Amino acid sequence: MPAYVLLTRLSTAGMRSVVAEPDKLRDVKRTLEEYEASVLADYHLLGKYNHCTIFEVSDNFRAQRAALQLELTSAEDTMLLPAIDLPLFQRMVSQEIRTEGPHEWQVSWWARSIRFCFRWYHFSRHIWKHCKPFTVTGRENFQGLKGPCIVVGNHTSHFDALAIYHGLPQRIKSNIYFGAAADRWFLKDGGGRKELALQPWYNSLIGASFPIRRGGGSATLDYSKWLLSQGASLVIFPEGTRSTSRKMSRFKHGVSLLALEMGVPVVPVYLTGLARLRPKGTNQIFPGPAGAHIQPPIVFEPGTAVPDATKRIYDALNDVHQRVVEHGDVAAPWDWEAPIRREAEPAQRDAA
Amino acid sequence: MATYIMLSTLTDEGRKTLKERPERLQEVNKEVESMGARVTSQYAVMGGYDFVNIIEAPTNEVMARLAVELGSRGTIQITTLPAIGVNEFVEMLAGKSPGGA
Repeated sequence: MPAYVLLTRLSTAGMRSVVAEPDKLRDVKRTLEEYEASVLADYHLLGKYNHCTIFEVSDNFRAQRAALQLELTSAEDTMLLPAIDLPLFQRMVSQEIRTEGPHEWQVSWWARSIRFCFRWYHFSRHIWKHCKPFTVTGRENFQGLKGPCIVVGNHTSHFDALAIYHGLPQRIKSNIYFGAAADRWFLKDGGGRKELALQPWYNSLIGASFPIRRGGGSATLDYSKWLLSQGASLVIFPEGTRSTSRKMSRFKHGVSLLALEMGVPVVPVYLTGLARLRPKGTNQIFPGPAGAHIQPPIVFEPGTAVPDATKRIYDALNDVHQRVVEHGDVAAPWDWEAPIRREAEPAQRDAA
Repeated sequence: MATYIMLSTLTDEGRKTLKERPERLQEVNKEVESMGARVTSQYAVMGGYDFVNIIEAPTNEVMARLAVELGSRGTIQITTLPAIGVNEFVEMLAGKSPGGA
């Protein structure tokens, strides 16, 4: 979740009320929490500003609303500074010269054959080992689809791509590619780290990934278009990064741009249990139930506006998300209200 | 240890150094430690400043030395603000601690 630094200077009236009632000073924190922010640190300052609060919130809009609210009530002046995690910032600074890929050879017959041999090693074994049970619903939603499609999912964990892959029907699995952050998975020579999973060639060949440059504009979609034109399907997480809040983050427009320009359907897949199983910010894995719930495909009529398309994709996943928040994971299947339509599928049955 | 918020802005020279050697940021943190202070958290930010650093130092003098030392290199401009945890400050205002007596 994005972090922000808020520097505040109190107005004279604000100062007076703080002296009369010191607890008022905690209003900054309270106001931010009203906007669903999580306060990481809170300081009173001597000098140019009176207050420094470091907090996390889902997006710029909420952060700005909270800052505005403070200005309207107690603060004379606020300075809101969007903050970037320092290691990520360092990678981004050197991104241009240090990333590599995409590798077009990943769609060749030999690359696909090697990937087929490594499917168990790279994808399935993790699901079998840690997701107990792993439930897949809605595979029938792929039945009417011919040709490539774009699969989208809610993104909360590094396990998401594995879970989506595991949940897909064989026809789609055999020719699908995953959009992955260039600044994490495609750093030149793994960014100096030796792990196999961080080497760009490995991610292109075995992980079936291709780099998406964050903030790279429409040029970053060129390779995705090329893959679709080759008949390949794509998996993209339109939130852009893993979410840690209970709300789904806003979707970026890349998927809509691709779907509209290339005339391909979008298949939403709602993933459950993975935020608990492999939370963001930790390398620990907590085995437990998880699931991939395939929703009905979305086909856009020609002339649909990009924001409308993005909203439709967002709503398709967010509706499920709201159901899950209210009723639990059992409400994730697309037909959950239909009688006895689902069954918990042991992961082992779905041999890759 | 007292807490300080150090707001820093890169100069042209600083931007060039950062682009060429991003790992320099960590080296600076080590130098800060060698001067008796400690960086507890650090963010790159967008807006009026480039970095926000939260630093613990034993005295104002250590912090002043640090600001002069880092500023003298010509790569950053620094604003240092002494910080007090809000809970402690509220208690002080309410007269519950020696500072507010």
